[in-house]
Amino acid sequence: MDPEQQEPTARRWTRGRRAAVAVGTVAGLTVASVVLAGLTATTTSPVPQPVDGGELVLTLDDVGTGFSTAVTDLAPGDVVLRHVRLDSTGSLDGADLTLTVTSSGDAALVTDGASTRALTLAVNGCDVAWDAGTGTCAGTASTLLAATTVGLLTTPVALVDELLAGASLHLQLVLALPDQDETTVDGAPPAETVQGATVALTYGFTMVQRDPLTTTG
Amino acid sequence: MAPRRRPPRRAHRRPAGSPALRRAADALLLLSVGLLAPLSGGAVTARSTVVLDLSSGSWAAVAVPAGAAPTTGPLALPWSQSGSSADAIVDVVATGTLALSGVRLRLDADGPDPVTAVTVTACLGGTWEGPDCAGTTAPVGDLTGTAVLEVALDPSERIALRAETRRPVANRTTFVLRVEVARTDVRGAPEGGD
Repeated sequence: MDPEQQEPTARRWTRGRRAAVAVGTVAGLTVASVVLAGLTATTTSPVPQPVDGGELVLTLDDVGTGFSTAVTDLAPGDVVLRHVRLDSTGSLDGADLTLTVTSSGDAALVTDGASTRALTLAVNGCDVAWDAGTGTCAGTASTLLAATTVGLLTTPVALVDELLAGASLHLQLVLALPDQDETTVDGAPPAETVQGATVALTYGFTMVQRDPLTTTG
Repeated sequence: MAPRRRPPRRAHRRPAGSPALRRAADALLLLSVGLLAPLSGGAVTARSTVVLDLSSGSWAAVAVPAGAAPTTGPLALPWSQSGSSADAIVDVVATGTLALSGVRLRLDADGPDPVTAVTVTACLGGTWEGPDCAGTTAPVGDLTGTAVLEVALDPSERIALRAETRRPVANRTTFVLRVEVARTDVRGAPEGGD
């Protein structure tokens, strides 16, 4: 055979052998991976292992009047008690429950000026349901938030460290308009007045999931 | 030869393999999400919001001519001269939203004549017809200073008053009746549950 013809033939043979080896390798690996995959599947999923993402759910319900009815004709010195229940209805435990209060309306009711005139809010807890009719706690009451001017509650304030899944938090919200003397003369209130003011208070209760867990088994 | 187009990327591609293998892969995917989300700081939060509307009340009262609609501002007493005495019939109307336990009356003179003894009498449950009260009279007091009308007034309620002086009232002097309502004239501040 012509050596000049043999050389290409040898190169073709070599390339063909290399290709065959490569194909064989790929085929072998494929078969191996399928076998391994089959083995893995066989060993891990005769009974599928369910993994559910947990839920973090916070619901709010009125106790008595709660937030269902507006507060009207508040006079200095008045105290309004409203009761609500927060329920952690998800499957995850909650933590770091905070409260924010934002408002829209007349600033006179929200922000103190030269004197303490604006609304204050305090939050009390009770380990059993509050008696909304009397505002009393038949169990153990605790102060979760001391009286604070409403305008200062736009940043979150901590109420409780944790609220376990399925647990409830019984809250009493104490809204008060500080006592003060204003004298109207011939139907006109003083320049700085809390009279006839209106505000919408938006209460936001927020909690985060409990700390992440690493479990083994 | 036309350029090859990259196939559109799919948001999520199901893994190939047997159903059992796919379930295992899905479980691993969920497990990974569950493990990685907290580690990456993406903590889950739950939030509940509610709005409470709130309004404050007002306390105010004005003096107006008998039967007139309330307006803001002091009232110049509409004296009616009769011989050596004079009288003026006015109403005090509660114009705020809160019930009052009373109001404070003050009489100022704008002119050369001093405020002399002016006696005020209320007509409860009726109106004045000249010197006659169709209801029950109740003395309020002298207006040489500030007199307190201790009569409960609901919002928009009015009470008829008769001011009387035993001396002639000169036209050159205006007697202005002012009505003041302090916080202490408003109902008490209750505290209790809802």
